[in-house]
Amino acid sequence: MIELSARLRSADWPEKPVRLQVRHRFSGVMNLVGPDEKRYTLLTRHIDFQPRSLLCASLPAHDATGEEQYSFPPVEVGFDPELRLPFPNPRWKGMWTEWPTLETGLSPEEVEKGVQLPESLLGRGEGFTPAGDDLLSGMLTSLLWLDPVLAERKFLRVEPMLHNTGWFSRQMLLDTMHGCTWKRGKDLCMALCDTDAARLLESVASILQWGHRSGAAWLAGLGVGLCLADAHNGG
Amino acid sequence: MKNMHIVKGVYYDSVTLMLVARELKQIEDVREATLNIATPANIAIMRQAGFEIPEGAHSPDDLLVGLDCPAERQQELFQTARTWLASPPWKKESEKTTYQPKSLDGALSILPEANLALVSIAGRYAAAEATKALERGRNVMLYSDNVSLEDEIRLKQLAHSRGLIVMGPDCGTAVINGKGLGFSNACPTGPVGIVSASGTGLQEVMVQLARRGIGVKHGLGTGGRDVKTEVGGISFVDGLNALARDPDIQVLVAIGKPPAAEVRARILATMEQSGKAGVACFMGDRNHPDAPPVFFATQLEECAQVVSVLLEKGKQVDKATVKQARQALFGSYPVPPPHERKDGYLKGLFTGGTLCYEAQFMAQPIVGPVWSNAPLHSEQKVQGNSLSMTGHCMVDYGEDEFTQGRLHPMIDPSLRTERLLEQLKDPMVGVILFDVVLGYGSAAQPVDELVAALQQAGYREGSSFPTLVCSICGTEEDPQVLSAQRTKLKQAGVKVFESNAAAALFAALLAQSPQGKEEKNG
Repeated sequence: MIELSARLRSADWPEKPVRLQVRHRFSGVMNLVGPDEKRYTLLTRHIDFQPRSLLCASLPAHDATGEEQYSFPPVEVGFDPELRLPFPNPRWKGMWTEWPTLETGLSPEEVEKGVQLPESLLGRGEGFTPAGDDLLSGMLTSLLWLDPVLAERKFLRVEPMLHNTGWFSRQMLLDTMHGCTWKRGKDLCMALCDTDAARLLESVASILQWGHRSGAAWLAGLGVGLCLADAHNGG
Repeated sequence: MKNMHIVKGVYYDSVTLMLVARELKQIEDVREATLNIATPANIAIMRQAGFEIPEGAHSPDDLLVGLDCPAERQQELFQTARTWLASPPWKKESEKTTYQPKSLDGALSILPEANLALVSIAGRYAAAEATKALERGRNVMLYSDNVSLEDEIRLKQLAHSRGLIVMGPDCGTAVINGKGLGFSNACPTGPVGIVSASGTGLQEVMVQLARRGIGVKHGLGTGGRDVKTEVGGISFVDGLNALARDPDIQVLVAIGKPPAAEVRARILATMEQSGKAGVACFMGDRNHPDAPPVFFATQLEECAQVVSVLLEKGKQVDKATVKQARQALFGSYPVPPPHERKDGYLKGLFTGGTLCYEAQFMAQPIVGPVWSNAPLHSEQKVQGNSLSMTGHCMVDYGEDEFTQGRLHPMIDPSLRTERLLEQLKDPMVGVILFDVVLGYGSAAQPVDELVAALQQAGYREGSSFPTLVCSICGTEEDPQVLSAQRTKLKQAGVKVFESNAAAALFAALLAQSPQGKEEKNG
């Protein structure tokens, strides 16, 4: 049994001890896999909150790689990954229409094709989460937020083809499909519903600090989805 | 080994090209590195530097990377250049942690109350962005050059019809509410309003006013073509009318090269009807008798001198008082002693276009015809390549031919430095005149490269080398600090003036046409 020095949890983190196996270990983040094959994450910075994650004072010191029982004291919910938001403020349309052209490592042709055939982007690009997957996650986030019917139609063929990308990306996309997102993404979506320009710029900057190009690709995807939903709903 | 690499169909801004070239030059084994968009002028400059560029294998959409390094390192260093172009290693970490909107609409969503858009992108795309800004109800400062005359006329007509103004194209300097945009100096805010068809003209007048303790509230640039017949002074007149309505402004100033006759008439009529005193400074213009409330100047420092009198004396000023002030100024200009005169041509190498023009105006009555790529009279235009300087000659390195895909020489004076050193070695040259423009936007260390090169060349004042004469347009409050630059130049043996007109007059009086020598470049 490993006792965790937890401080806060995401709303979907299991309240009881859970058996997990370490999958990846980074300086401030540990990804683990649960009996349901889902990703669980221990993290040390609030900004990195994501679905099924636990904010700890420090990560477990041992180098366990086998399956272990993890327990933690009762802690409050510090992040709800579900996205339940009003419509974005149309004032920011000028901003989100420029995001699809951000430098993501994908060519404009790849992005264009991905808008028509999202499955073509699965696993495409470099990085821990390939840029194509990040872009899909962002695009699906905004479509589910604003136009679930279009989201379902666009992403119909994506779920059965998720084996075309890695486990971690697959988990990210499955979470997105279930209407959940990471804290940085949720903060940005909330800022888009607000009127505060400084808050929006801070949120965008925070997204761009996410990974090497993950944030830029996710943001490009969010912009693609916002533009698609906007066009689909008559601008 | 000098080798040329051509990258087809790419565009990088000229700041990035300069920084990559500068970084490459820091690498051991790299004797020269130059990155330029493949415009005809850049090709000529690179060929003259010894790089072989095949005919017809390029277009202005291509990038030329010239490397002088051992053959075995050419490919490696070329790849380094490509990597740095794609992802500059010197980009500050803070740039990653902030987000700047990438589009006009993005910027307007953040700052909807903005009433001015500054457009600074490659000229061929600039008119479209400026149109967008006007259609969204914003005034435009069009910093970009290489915008067509047709586009300029269309933009200015659109702006006028909407009660807006277009400053530019090729408007490098403006001051709004005392805040400088583009190239500008740290000067006080005050009761003067200026409309200027010349960027460095505006800077020089503001600096000369600052030396007299006078500030400027607004300095509106129009771009040099605004006062031509085709454009008709649309922005100039709209700008003067806007300044005339401002109760904080006591004196109006109009600056530029001589306008077309009908445009001059419109400008003067607007000034006369403004209800304010005014100074019209059309450099090189024929002398006009003062006609209060409008007074005339043909030089930039003279313009500032007249403004100072108008402010001091108010509406009671008479023509005689202004005349005395002019005489006092001209009488203060130093004259070189006869023994310092040099047998040789006068060569001027300028970063500021208006300063080049004013210098020609000052020098020509003394030395005779002065050739230039931006001459006083079209028949004195340098034939063919402006890099070859014939006779008494002054070159403006800020002209379009030198700035397509290349940084303006006020930001990167390296080309001007190279050319100046060439002139220094020429036995036909007696005096070299140049300008240094300080302020925001200009090179952080505008004279260091030149001073180092002069030391390396063994330049000494009073030697057989041509005499170097320089004017500095700047203030003590500028980021480069006037006194620091002046000291460096003086220690290098350069005769330094703080007025372009004074420097040009001094240089012209120093130079005597070479006798018994044949013009090398002629």
